[in-house]
Amino acid sequence: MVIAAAIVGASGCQEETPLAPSPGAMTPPLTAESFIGTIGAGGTAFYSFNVPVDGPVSFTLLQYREDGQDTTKVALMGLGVPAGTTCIVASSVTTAAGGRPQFTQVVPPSIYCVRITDPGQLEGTGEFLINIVRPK
Amino acid sequence: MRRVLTILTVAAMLGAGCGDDLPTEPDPLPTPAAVDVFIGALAVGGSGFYSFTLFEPGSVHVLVANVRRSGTNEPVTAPLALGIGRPQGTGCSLTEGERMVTAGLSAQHRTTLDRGVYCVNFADRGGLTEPVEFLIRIIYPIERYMPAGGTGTSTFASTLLRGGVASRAFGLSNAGTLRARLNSLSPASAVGLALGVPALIDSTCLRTVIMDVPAGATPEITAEVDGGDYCVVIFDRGEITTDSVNFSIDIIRP
Repeated sequence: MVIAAAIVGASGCQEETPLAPSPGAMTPPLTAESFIGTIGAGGTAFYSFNVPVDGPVSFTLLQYREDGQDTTKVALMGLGVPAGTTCIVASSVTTAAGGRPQFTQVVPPSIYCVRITDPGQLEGTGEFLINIVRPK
Repeated sequence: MRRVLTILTVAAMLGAGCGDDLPTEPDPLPTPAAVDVFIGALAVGGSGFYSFTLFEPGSVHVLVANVRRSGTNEPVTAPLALGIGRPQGTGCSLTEGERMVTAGLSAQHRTTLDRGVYCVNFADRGGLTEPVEFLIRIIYPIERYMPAGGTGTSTFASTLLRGGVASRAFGLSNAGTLRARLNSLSPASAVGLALGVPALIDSTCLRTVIMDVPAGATPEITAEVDGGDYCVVIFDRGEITTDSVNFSIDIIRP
C-alpha cells in the first residue's frame, strides 16, 4: 500500500550532502511520497521511484512496529537501483524509527529504489512507514 | 508471485559507500549484451516483474520460453500478458501496451528503448486456472548480442530408460528454423520429443514445443528460434515396455 505524505526532509547522514543547499547551489523542488508495508523476520521490501533531475534523496523511517507495537529495533534501509526481482543497494544505514531523515544522498536522474531489510531482529511482523523526499 | 529465482548477468550500476554520489555516466567501454533470465511463478490472477538497466539506447528482446504447471514439466498454453515499463512503487508501470503471449522460442516482444531503468511485467489476465512457473529470457541491447553456439548438424545418440528423460543442450549462433529429427528408436516405442530451453538451475530441459511420437515413427520437430541456448529432450510417456531404448536424434541448426 502506498500513500502520499508531505514531509520536509532535513539534515543528512555523516558525509552525505545535506538537503539544505550550500551557498550558491540550487536545490531543485522536492516532493515526498511514502512507502508503507510489512516485512517478516529476515524479510525485505522495496519501492521504486523516479528522480527526474540531479538532487538530494532522503529517507526517513518514520514508523517501525512489531506485531502492532512501536519498537526500537533497527532496520537496514538503503538506496539502490531496481534490478531483477529486487533492489540492489549501494549505500544504506542501520536505523531505528525517528522523525528526521536517517539517510540522504545526492543522485543524478534515474530510477532508484529504497529497500528495507530486517537484519535479524524481528520475531514477528514488522510494519514500517518510510518517507521518501526526492527532486520533483 | 509465490516464488522467484533471479539470475542476473547485468552489473549493478551503483558505487558503494555513504557519501559517494551515484555515477552519472555509463562505462565508456563497449560492453556485451546482457542476457537476463527471469524465473518465477504466477498464481492465478498474479503478476511479477523484473527490472534491468539499459546503459545505452538499444533494442530489447523478451522471450517467454517456458510456462508450465507448477511442479511439473507440462507446458501451459494459456496466453499471459507481457509488457515493458518502468519500476514504480512496488510494481512495474507499463510504458508500452501489453501483449498476450504463449511460450515460444523466438522473442515475443521486441522494442527499442533509450538508456534507463526498465522492467518486464508478466501477468495473468484471467487465462490461468492453476499456478504456473515460467522462464523469460531478456536480452539487451540486442545490437551487442553475439550468441555462442554453432551451425550445422550434430547427433544426439544415447539410451532412454523406461520412465526416463534424456536431453541435450546446445547453442545457436543464428536465428532461423531449428529442427530435431528422430532418426532411430530401438526397440520401437511411443515417446515424447520436445525442443525447449535449459532450466539453468539444474540439467532439466524445459519443454516449449512438444510432439507425441507414435511407435515406429521417425518424425522431425521444428521451431523458429533466435540465437541462444536451447535443448532437445526425448522422454518416456509411460509407454516404453522394455528396460530402455536406444535413440539417435539429429539436431539441425539454422
